[in-house]
Amino acid sequence: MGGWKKVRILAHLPTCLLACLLTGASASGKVFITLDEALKLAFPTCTIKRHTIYLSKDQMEQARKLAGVEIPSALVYPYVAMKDGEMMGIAYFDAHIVRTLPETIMITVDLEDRIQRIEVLDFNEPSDYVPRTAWYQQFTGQRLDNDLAVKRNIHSIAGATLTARHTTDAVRRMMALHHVIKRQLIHE
Amino acid sequence: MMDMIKSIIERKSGLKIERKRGREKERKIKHPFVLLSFRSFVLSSLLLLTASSVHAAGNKAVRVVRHIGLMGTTLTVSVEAVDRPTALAAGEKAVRALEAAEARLSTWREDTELARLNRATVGETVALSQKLAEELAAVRHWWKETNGAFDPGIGVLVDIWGLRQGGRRPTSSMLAQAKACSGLAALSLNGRTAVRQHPDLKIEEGGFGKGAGLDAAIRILGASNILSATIDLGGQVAVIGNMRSFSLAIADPANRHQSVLRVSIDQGAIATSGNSERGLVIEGTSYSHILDPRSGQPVPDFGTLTVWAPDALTADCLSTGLYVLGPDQALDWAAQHPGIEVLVLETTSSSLQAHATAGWKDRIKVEDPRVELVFEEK
Repeated sequence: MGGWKKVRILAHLPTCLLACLLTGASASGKVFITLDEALKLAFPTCTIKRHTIYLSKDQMEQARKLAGVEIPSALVYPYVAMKDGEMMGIAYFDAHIVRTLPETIMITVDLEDRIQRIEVLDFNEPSDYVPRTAWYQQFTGQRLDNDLAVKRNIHSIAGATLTARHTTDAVRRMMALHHVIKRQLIHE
Repeated sequence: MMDMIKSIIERKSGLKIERKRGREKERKIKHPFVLLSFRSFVLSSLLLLTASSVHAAGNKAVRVVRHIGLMGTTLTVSVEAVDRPTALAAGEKAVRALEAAEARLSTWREDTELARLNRATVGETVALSQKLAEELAAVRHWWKETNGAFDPGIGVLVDIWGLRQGGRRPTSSMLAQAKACSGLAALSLNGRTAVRQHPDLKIEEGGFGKGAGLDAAIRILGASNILSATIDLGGQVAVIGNMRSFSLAIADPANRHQSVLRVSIDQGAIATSGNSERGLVIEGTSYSHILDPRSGQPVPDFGTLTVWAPDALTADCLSTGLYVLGPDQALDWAAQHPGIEVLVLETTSSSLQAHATAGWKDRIKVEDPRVELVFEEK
């Protein structure tokens, strides 16, 4: 398979995995809760609107620099929670491969750009790879800055560093995308 | 309302419920796995009645499992109910109770109630929420019961040892200054108010926050229309409902991926303390991340210590406090405190020695031939 073909297929991976979550389908049946359920639970009295945003080259580059990791697709799907005409929060989903199997994470962000919730919707690796140590704590209530990384402010997980890295990368990616597109969302 | 529930349960079960009040009730507990507090008994009975009605109706119970990053670890909430919407709604209430506990107790953030108390001026009377007041009162109780081996007022020690930054060795003068703070003794509690008596007093939620959150979540689940639930907060587990027992692996202290024992519980909570996940290495030397509040030094690393208690906050406080006491004193302490069960797993050069209090009988399965399991006399 040609290199470009591989890249193009990988770029569609998040979308395919999210599609599985939307329908509750999973090859291994390890979807804990669906995307719709996670959104309704996080924003129970809100109406949720899914936006589709196409990042420009500049926005892609800005997001990549902020995240410190690759942004695999120019398509972003923020889910905006509204109540009585007011924006209450935004949810992002990131689907990625941990070792060889996929994981999907939802983060919700408040209006002051702080992380409110990190929920694993789908985790297919053995349970040994699920983070267990005092580690997630550093995420909640944080904004994106240079310290939102493994072995800086975010400590790694002994024996599960792979999950730590992938989860941290996913959170940084979602927070960077949020940073880049939030003005656009407010104006929509 | 409670009287009505009581009479229904008595009619259904044929048992006579006698309600005792306050501490007297706790002291009467003979076997923690059989007898719990009146409230827990009522909640469990209601869950059982719901379960039997599900069985009678021929419905299939549904279990919903969720994994959320919370309080520095992974929260796994598993709720069984008659249908998925009920399980999801109850699980979400539990998650929010835990999020509220984090928003009340976390000292990783500046905007929590406990962080504000830690910043209060010495001598200033600080009004506490009902929940924080109750949690601090319970924490103070176990601080006294362990003669200070459990003391969450060691924030300054945590700072000078750099526990949140990967560890560093404090100078002797820093250590002397931190010890002068005298921990929780420097906090006056009077009902819904508290007064800091020393400028260096800083209460750490690490030894009790997860337990407090688990208890809040279990209370919510007990009042929900569910069949059973387990909440696992980074290895600290609380269960409700008697549908089946929950089993938890106890890892080899030297290798957390290797399960050596399996314990099962069907009510109450368990917490484990040890260094397999969070030991410190400072200048090439390994240290425990658990500090002895009395000496200001990291405690010797002997293995792991697991506590079962009727509630999660007690299990949380005591797993730390009894680890500080060390294996022998911890087992002696447990012998004097019926209703608390302790399992000590000690590493030696060639084997793993497990010492368990009598209440663990029939609830421990050895999974590794290196383990020598001994039960303490009643």
